[in-house]
Amino acid sequence: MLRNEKWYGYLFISPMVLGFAAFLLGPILTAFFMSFTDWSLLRDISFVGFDNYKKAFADDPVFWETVGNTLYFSAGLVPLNLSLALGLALLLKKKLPGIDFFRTALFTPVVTSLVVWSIVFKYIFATDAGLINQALRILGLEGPAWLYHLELTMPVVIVVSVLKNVGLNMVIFLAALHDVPKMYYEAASLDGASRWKTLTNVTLPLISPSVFLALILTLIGSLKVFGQIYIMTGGGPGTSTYVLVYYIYQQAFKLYEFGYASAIAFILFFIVFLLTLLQWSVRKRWVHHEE
Amino acid sequence: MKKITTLLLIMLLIATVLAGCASNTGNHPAKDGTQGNKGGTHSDEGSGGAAKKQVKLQFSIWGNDAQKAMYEELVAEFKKTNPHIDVEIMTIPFADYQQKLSIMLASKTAPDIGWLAERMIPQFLESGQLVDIAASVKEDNEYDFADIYPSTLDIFSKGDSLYGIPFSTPPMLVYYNKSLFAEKGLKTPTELYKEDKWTYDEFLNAAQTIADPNSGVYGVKLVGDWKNWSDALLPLVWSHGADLFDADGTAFAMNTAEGQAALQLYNDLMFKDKTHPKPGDEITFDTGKIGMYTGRYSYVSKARAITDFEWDIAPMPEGTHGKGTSLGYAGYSVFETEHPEEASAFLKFITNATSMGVTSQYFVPSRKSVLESDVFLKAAPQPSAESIQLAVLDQMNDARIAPGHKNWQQIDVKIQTLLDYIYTQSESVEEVLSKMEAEVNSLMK
Repeated sequence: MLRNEKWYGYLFISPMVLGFAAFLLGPILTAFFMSFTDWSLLRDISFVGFDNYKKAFADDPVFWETVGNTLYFSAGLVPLNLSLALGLALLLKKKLPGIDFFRTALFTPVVTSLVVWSIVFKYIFATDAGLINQALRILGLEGPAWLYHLELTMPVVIVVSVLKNVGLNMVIFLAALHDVPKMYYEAASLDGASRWKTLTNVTLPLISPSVFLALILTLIGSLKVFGQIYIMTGGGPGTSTYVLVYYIYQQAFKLYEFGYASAIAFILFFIVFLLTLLQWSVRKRWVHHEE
Repeated sequence: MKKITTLLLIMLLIATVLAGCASNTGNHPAKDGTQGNKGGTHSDEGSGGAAKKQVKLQFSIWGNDAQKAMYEELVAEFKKTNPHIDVEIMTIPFADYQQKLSIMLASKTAPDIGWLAERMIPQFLESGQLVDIAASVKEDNEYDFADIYPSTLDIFSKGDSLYGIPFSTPPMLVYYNKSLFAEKGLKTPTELYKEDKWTYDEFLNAAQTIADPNSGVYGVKLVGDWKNWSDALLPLVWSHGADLFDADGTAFAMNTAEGQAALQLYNDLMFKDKTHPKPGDEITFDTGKIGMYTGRYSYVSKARAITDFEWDIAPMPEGTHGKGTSLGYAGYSVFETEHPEEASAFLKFITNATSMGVTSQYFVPSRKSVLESDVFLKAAPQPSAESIQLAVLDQMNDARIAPGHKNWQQIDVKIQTLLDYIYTQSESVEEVLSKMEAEVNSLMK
């Protein structure tokens, strides 16, 4: 018999801790080690120190383009996603007949497979045979090659990603909006506050913890984007939609450069880590009412 | 607030677990299956005391369902004489085949035997992951090794060693929609070929006559898969007198006037004449909206299912430097395995004359006795024996296998990426070719 209660505690968390150690921590540490080697399927492994990191920062213009594209994707996706989610949540907050239908409709893409979603939109945005350009043709217009255009393709992928995931943040905001006590709105209306003032001075501060949560989750998710890029564009046209995870995939599994791919994976880890740290530190300034 | 966070955490956990399960079952069903079966047969052995140890082989292909079904029948036949060998067929899409196989070989989960295409062979040969089967096939009189065209074995040979047997050497040819040609009152490619007039000029002329953008009908499609530029472009490049690599395979050789002319023609088909589907558009020949499609003989398995229009096959058109017919190439190799003997036995079985007769319904056989027999020419009502004679047999002598390189994967990605600048119309053909020359050369050292 185990007498000490603390052992029960360890026992109960052991499945999680062991699983984490074996399937997450172990591979992460191995990858860290790999990032200092030139391991490739095509030759013997040898230790190369910081060469992979040096190559990324100094000798690989595609890497910098990839970093730029990733930040572009995040900068486009996060504000669009959050503002749209908030707007929809405000619209769908009211208890109107049939409102559940709209809530379900907007949430459905979240539970749809990303692969299916991306393939469908790849067809919708096809140049001649695509739904959008066919519709434009009926109006007598010739649509652009959405997925074969150096400037247009990334925005298309951003919009497709927003449509896919906006429902999740919307649900978070809906739940938070329902938690805001009615009396604050009464007080605001008694003071003659406009609807805009009520939104910025009552609603937003009160749901700021949820906004913070949604912001962090969406930002981290957007930095790790892969599926929609892999399926819709394959990084193309040219290198215009190469993002970090796609580049890691390509280096490791297409070109077999596991060492270099591991190094880029760690650079991505530090970028995510730093951005999260930064948000955490400025959180006190705008997140109120944290329990 | 706490409730929401807890709820979210739970959802996140569930999602992770589900995702984990999904990828586990997705990646290793075959492996689990093998182990499960091994366990089962071991106990059988205990009670029955079978003479030979039960072995399960995995056989990887990139073929379609019809081809898989054909192999399942061959496996059943094989089991009659080799009851102790089970063969499981594994399908991997062509676009992922080489990379997936490389990873599986590195992690010791690779199939025992499988298909390889010409462009994959140098890498695996260089890394020593293929089993030498020379002794096994050459010393077996019943197998009749001499029946296989020696020229098709070069790519698998290294000194006296032999690392595979080809089963499919299909020349590139033109599938054409006979109904569309008749509608426009055009002479068919077959008729023109017989009159010795089947040239690129006639090809372009037919494409323009047939194309009707308003109803979504295209004159021509060179591309089968937008990620596979080499199959689509090599015949065009060769027929214009250019080449991908130089004779020693050490430098990019397409940046010449001839290479430019070939790529310019491809560019104009899409963006000037608008007779070719736009980059990324996945419209296929069997929809009936394509006048001519250049593909390999193995596409007949799909074409034979067409019922709403008539079609036929013809040789590639004649350019300034011949037809430039490229020869596809696929063979079977035994990979690093615990059961080289059993795998070699299966390889020999599926490449013997009888089995190759069966596979010749989809694949152009590498055995002389099969290629020149009625089994191949009259395998199916379509295409006719005459068309097969014209478009396949008569072209074999001049057709060339696409060049390979041990860094093919890198070269492939580089050229694909640079071709996108033509597809987006953001750079001229000359600019793209000079970039290709610089960047591909640095990968060929």
